[in-house]
Amino acid sequence: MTSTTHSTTRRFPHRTRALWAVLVAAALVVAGFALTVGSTDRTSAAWTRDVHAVSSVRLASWATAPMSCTPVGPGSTVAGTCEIESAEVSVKGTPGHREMVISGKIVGSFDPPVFPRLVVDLSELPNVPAGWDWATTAPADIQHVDRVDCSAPPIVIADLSNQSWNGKGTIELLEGQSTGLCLAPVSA
Amino acid sequence: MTIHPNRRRLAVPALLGLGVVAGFGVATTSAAWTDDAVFTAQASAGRVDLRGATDGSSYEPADDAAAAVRLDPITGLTPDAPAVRNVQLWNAGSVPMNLTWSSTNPTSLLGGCVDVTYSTLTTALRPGQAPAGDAVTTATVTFTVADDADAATCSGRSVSDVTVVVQGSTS
Repeated sequence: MTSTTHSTTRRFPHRTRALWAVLVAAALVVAGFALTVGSTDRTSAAWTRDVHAVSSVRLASWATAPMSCTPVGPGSTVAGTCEIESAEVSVKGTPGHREMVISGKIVGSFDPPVFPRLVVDLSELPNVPAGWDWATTAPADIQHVDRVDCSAPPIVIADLSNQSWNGKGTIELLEGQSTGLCLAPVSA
Repeated sequence: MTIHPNRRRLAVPALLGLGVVAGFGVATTSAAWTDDAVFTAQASAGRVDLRGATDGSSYEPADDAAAAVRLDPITGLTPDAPAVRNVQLWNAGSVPMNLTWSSTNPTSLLGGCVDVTYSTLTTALRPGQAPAGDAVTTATVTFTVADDADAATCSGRSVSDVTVVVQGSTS
């Protein structure tokens, strides 16, 4: 009897503690379920799809004056000042085999490796012959005019990076050439 | 010594409870992350699919730059004439999508010679089984040369592979 009484009096607290254990387990189950649902929601919210589109951009050639000058440094940055005080065009030869000399008086303040880049709008200058054959045009002296872009006439762009320009920028163009050097664009 | 059997009795429900917790946790995690069947069920409940086109009919997923929709190249861009390129977008999924431009899209090109601007996108593009009606919208990119852009530094320059991205999300 003593043993039975002892067992009875201890079983009740054991049931209570067991009940607590089950309740805690149930709470953990609920918490775990909520966490799982929450994770799923966040994953769902992060669902994304991208659409990529690609293109290329090429600017036209234009001029803001009959002839303009910009001192161009590394990375196409502008470094210093450069102005054109006067510009003129002279042409000689016969149609299909002519030479055009574009020259401008340059006043600037910059040092190498900065060089003058000239932009010429031939439609704004006198003496430019009609019917000039741009498809067969090439620079006359690539050593002095480092790069020429005649791809969008009547705009001509020239980099004088190899020229001892000495106050005067000169671009000599020849008609009737087989090479397309004049069509090589000025580098970006 | 008479206490041990009682402790075992107490430990049984506790261990069972922990077992339930552990078992449920494993089962739930497995279902949410690795069970293909469950994932497929979730996907079918909220399928996400955004596609792009330039002609209004040939829609492609264009999920990355390698599979990007090809816009017509822009040539002859001048200060007085902006160029516009459109991308048609189709929500081919099964849930509405919010569209935004990627924050990595360029806003300037060629050292500032060209400004790039973007249209406002819809915040709730409805899904549709066909690319029509409310399931389609147009995203517009505008390329502009500033009026005062310097001819010597900008004229004649070019850049290739300009990529823009539209992001669609379900929330």
